Amino acid sequence: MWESIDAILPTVSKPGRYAGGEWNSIAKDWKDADLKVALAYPDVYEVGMSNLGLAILYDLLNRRENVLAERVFAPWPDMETAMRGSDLPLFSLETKNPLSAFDIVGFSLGYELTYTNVLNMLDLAGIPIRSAERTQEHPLIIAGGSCVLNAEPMSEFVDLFVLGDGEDALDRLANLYIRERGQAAPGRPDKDDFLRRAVEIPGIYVPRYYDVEYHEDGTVAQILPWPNCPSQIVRSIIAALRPSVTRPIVPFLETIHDRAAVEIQRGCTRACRFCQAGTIYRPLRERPKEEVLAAIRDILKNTGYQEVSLVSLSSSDYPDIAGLVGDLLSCYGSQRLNVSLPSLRIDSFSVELAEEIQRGKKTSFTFAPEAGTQRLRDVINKGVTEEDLLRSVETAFQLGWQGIKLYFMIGLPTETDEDVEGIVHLVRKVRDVGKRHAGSRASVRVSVATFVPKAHTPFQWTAQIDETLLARRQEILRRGLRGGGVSLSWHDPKVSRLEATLARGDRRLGSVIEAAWRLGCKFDAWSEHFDFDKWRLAFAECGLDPAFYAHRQRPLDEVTPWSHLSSGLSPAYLRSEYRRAAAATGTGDCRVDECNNCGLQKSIPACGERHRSQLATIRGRKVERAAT
Amino acid sequence: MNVQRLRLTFGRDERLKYVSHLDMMRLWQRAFNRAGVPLAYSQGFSPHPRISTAAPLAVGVTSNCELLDVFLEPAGDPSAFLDRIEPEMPPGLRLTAAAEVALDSPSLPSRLRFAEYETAFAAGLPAAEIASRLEALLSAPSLPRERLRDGRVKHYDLRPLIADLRPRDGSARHATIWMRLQANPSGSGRPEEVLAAMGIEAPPLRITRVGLILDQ
Repeated sequence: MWESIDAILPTVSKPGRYAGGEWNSIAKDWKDADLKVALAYPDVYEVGMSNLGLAILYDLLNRRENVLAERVFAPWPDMETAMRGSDLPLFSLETKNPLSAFDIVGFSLGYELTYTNVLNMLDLAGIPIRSAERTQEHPLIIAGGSCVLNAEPMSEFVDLFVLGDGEDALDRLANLYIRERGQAAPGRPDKDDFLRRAVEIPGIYVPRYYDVEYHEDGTVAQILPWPNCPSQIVRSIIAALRPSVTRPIVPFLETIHDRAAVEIQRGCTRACRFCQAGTIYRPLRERPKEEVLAAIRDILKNTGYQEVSLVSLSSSDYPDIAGLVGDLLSCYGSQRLNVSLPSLRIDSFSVELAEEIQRGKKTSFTFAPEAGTQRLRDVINKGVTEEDLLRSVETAFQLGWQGIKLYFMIGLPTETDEDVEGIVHLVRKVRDVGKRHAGSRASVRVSVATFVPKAHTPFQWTAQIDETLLARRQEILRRGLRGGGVSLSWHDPKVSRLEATLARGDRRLGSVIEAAWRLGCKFDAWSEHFDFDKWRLAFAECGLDPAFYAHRQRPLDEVTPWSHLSSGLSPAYLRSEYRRAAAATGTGDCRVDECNNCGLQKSIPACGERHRSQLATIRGRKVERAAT
Repeated sequence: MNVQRLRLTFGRDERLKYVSHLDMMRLWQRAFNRAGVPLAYSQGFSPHPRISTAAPLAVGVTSNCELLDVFLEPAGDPSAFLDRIEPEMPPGLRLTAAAEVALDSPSLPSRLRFAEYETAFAAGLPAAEIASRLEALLSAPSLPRERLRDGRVKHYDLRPLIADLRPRDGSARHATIWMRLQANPSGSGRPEEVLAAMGIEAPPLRITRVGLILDQ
C-alpha cells in the first residue's frame, strides 16, 4: 500500500496530510486487536486534527489493550483525483490499511455541511454508501457528534448513531463487539445480532429499527420503533469528565487549533435560546482546577506545545477562572506559555482576564452581542445589555486593544427592521468609544450570520428568514454602516439556508444528500467548493423543497423528525422557553438562579437534588407565610 | 550571558520526508521543549528561539547530512544534550552529532556552497546512454529551463547550478545519479530538474541529500 501512496503523494498539495507518523500517534499490531476502529473525520486533516472529540475517542480506544483506533480524514480534491486515478482506496494514517479492513468506521458529525464528504469517503473506500447495500463483509458504519441529535438525514447511510457524550457509550459498544466476536466463529459478529443488542445501550440509535410515516403534507405522522427498541433514545450523559487527554497527537502540519487543549468544563448553564450547544451538552460538568493544572503540566511535557487552550462553551463562567489563569502564568510565564480562552463573556472582568494572558500585539477583541436591541436580546435570552457591551469595549480600548470584532445574527425569531437598525446604532456607539480612545486607528469589524434554527432548542419550530426579507435587512446594515472605520462581512446566506434545511430535515433528505454528492458536491463547508445550484438541482430531482424544512413555521404540536431522539430536556421545557421568548421574558442561569426544570432534574442526580431542595424551600416559605 | 551554540547533524528517512521545511522547524522546537532543553530566544517584540538549518530540505527528499544550529542558555554538555533529545525524536528522524561552535562564526546558510544528492529513477536506459546524457549536460554551455513558481512560469539557466554529475551503480530497473548542485543565496539546483533536463520524464523514485559542502 505505501508504495502506491508514495507514488502519488509527490503530486498532491500538502502530502503531510496523508503520511501519518506524528508524535504520539499510535500504530498497533493488527494481529493483537479484537476490535479495529477507524475514526473518520469528514473534513480535511487540519480541521479534523483540531477536534477535541476525535482526540478523546482516539485516546479512549487505544488505551484498551485489545482495541486499536486509527485516523482518516477527507482527502482534498487533488488527492482524491490522484487516488481514484491509481485505484487507491481510502486508507488510515497509522498503518495505511484500507478503511474496508476495519471492523468499525466511526464518523464525527459536527457540521451538517460535511455530510456529502461522508458519502464521498465511503465511496473512496469502496464501501457502498447506503446501509441497505452493505453486507456482513463491510465494516459497521457508525457516527456521533452534535449533528446526530437529529440523525435522520444521514440515517440511510449510517448503521448506528451514538447520541451525546461518546465516552461511556463507545466503551460499552466496544465491549459488546468484542463479546459478540468471541461467540461468532472467525470473523466479525453477525451485524444484525450486534445491532439488536446495541440498542440496549443508552444513547445508541439504530435507524433501521424505526419506521417513519408521513402525512400527505410531508410532515411526520409517527415514528414507530420495532419490538424491543426504545421509543425514545436519550442522549448518553457522562456523570463527570474523564481525565484529560495528556498525550494528544502533535501534527507536523499547522492545524486550525495548533495547540494543546484541556476541556475545563462541558455544558453551559446560560440558556441562550438560539444555541444548540447550550442544550445538547447539559448539564454543566466542571474539571477541578487542580486537575486542569496537572493535565496542562503533563500535556506540555508530552507535546512540547507552548500554547494551551482552555476549552469550554463559556470560559468566564468557570469557577475561579482568574485563579486558574493566575496559576498558569506564575507556573509557566517564564516558559513563554500562551493561554487562550475561547468564548469570553461580555464584561469588564473578561476583558481584564484577556489582558492578563495577552502576549505580544493586541490586535482585535471579539464580542458576540448577537442582536441589536435589548428586546431581541431578551427574546434570545442573551443576558447582555448595551451598557455591558459599551463598558467592555471601553475597557478593551483602555487596555490598548485597537480593534473590536462584533458578531451578530440576523433573522432571529421576532426580529423587525428596528432590531436590525439597532445593530447599526450599537455598532456606531462602539465605534465612537473606539475613536475617543484610539482615534483613527480604532477599527470595528462586524460579522453577520444568518440565524439557523436547530433541533432540540426552543427555536426548533421557528422559520428561518426568507431571502427577500434577508436582502432588505442586509440593505439596512449596508446603508447604516457604510465607511467610518467599520467593516462589514457576511456569512454566505445560502450556506446558512442549506444548514437550516439539513439541521431540521427528515429521512427523505438522505436521497437529496446522495443526489447532491452524485452531482459533485463535497467540501460544502468550503466556499470555493460550495455549489448551491447543484443542491437546488438535487432537491428538485428528489421532489423536495428546501423551504419546507428551512422557512416553514412549524406548529408546536407537530411531530418533529427527531421526536424519538431526546436530548434529555423535556419538550414541555422547550415549549415553555419558546413562549417566554415570544414574550421577551428572560430565563436565569441555573447555576446561580433557580433550577429551570429543563427536564434533566429527572435523570441527573445533582440536578434532581437541587430541584428538590428548591421545592422544599418554596414549600417552607408557604408554611411560614401560613403560620404568620 | 552564558549562551551556547550547538551544531547538530541529523538525517531523516522515508517516514518523515513529506514534512515541509517550516513544519520541520516547528517539530524541532517542540522536541526541544519536550526534552526541557533551555532554548535561547532572540530579542525584540516577538522573541523566537534561535534555530536555523543550513538549507531547507524539499518535501519528498530524505537526507543523512542535515545541519542545524541551535542556541541554548545556559550552556551545557553537548553529549548530555544528545541523551536528552534522543527520546523526543519522532520516528524517522536521527540525530547523529552535536558539537559546540563559536557564537560569532558565520551562519550556516551564509557558508553553504553546494548540496549533493543521490537521485534514483526507473531506468529503462542502458548505463552507457545515461553516462552520455550526463556528459552532454556537463558540456552544454547553457541549459535554459522553465518552471512554475507561484503560478507563474520562471525562465532560468540550470547549467551554472550544476557542479558535477556522476552515474552510480544501479540495478537493471533502477538507476542512480550522484549530483553536486549549487546551493547558495543566488540559486539552488533541484535534482528533479536535472533529471528532466536529461530527458527523463518519470518522476524520481527517491532523492536523498548526501552531502552539504560549506566554505572553509
